[in-house]
Amino acid sequence: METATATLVGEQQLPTAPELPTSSTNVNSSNGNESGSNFPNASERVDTENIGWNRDRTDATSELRQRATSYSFTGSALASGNKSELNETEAAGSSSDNSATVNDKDKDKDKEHSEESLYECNICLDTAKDAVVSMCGHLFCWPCLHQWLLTRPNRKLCPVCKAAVDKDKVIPLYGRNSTRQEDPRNKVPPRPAGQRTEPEPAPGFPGFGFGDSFHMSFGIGAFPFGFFTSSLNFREPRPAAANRGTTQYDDEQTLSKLFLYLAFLCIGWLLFA
Amino acid sequence: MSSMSPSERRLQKELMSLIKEPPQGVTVDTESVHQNLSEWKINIKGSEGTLYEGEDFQLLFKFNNKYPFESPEVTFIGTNIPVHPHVYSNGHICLSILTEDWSPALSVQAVCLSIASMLSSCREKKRPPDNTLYVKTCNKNPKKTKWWYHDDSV
Repeated sequence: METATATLVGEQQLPTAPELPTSSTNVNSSNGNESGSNFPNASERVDTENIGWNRDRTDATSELRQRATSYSFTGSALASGNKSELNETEAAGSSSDNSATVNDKDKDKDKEHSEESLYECNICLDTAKDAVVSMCGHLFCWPCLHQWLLTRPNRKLCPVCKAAVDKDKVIPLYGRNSTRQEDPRNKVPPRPAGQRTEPEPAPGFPGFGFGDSFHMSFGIGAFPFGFFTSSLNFREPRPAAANRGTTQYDDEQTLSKLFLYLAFLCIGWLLFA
Repeated sequence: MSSMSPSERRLQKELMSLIKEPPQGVTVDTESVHQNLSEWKINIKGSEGTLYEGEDFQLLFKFNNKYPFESPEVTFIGTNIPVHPHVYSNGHICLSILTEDWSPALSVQAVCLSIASMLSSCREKKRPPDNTLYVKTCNKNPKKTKWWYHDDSV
């Protein structure tokens, strides 16, 4: 049972470890030493971290224990950022009687754990990376949620509460230093961009350009005047087009195309009928 | 550690919390898990005051590498398969969260609780009506069965 608690403690500290790159080398070397003192086959252990699904029993057990101990120490040391504590724990770890230390840490970490689990991804159970939050308020890593949405393309439901969830219905969370810490590999399924609505432009000449902003509207009215008045209204400025990438923009594009085809249909019908 | 696949990482985390804070009447066979992280044996006790009081059951969870995006394969194994309208005598369980209602926010613990609750709310110990036919014709993998979930009462 002691193994179990220690292991758990180790696991919950995991998310903290990679976020503190400065002291990682130091800690890694201490891991090596520590596991070296506890396990005769330490060199092999360290090299074969890439464990497969099937391995013989003793191997798996010792792997579990080894990982547990090393991570519990690195975790606590990193969390407090205290090198001397690291050394002390290491010393305690290499002596056979380390249960007291572990138990003391246990209590501290229970508190930390409850706070930390607030920011755990609901899918991978790690601290959320590239975090997004759904409209229903549930937190996920974007890569995790993205994969879930791909898994069930026809039933996009929030894994926690089964509310509707979709790519444009999640909000990315940007921490203060989020851009600096971002790992480019994590951007592979790109996080949806934050939406930023432009303020209404000052009223002025709307412009004619047929390029990017070509829109066609269609109205019902007494032909031919209704058609012209609705499509050739130069006097009043149109409302500004929605930002690229937003849902509104997509909708407007679709609608605009739809009405364009409708207009062609009507003109064709008038010409040939 | 970083070289562990996401499914293994998650299974490790679930294992630790299940060992540390197991729900009532649920115990993990850690031996089986240490042998193979993708197949867990879990013992479930019939809750007190229910038809299954005093009985012990064993569940087998099989995880593939798409876990938690795909549900685990869960069956009753061993000599004592509960006699329940949603449990076939070969151990297959008719439970919607094991297939179409699966969500990656569910966990081994959640599945165990659902199964325990399914057993506890049973009023009459009997096999599903199509038990004989199903057991003869079904695939070994219960996830291959096209389940029809119609009875929410048990």
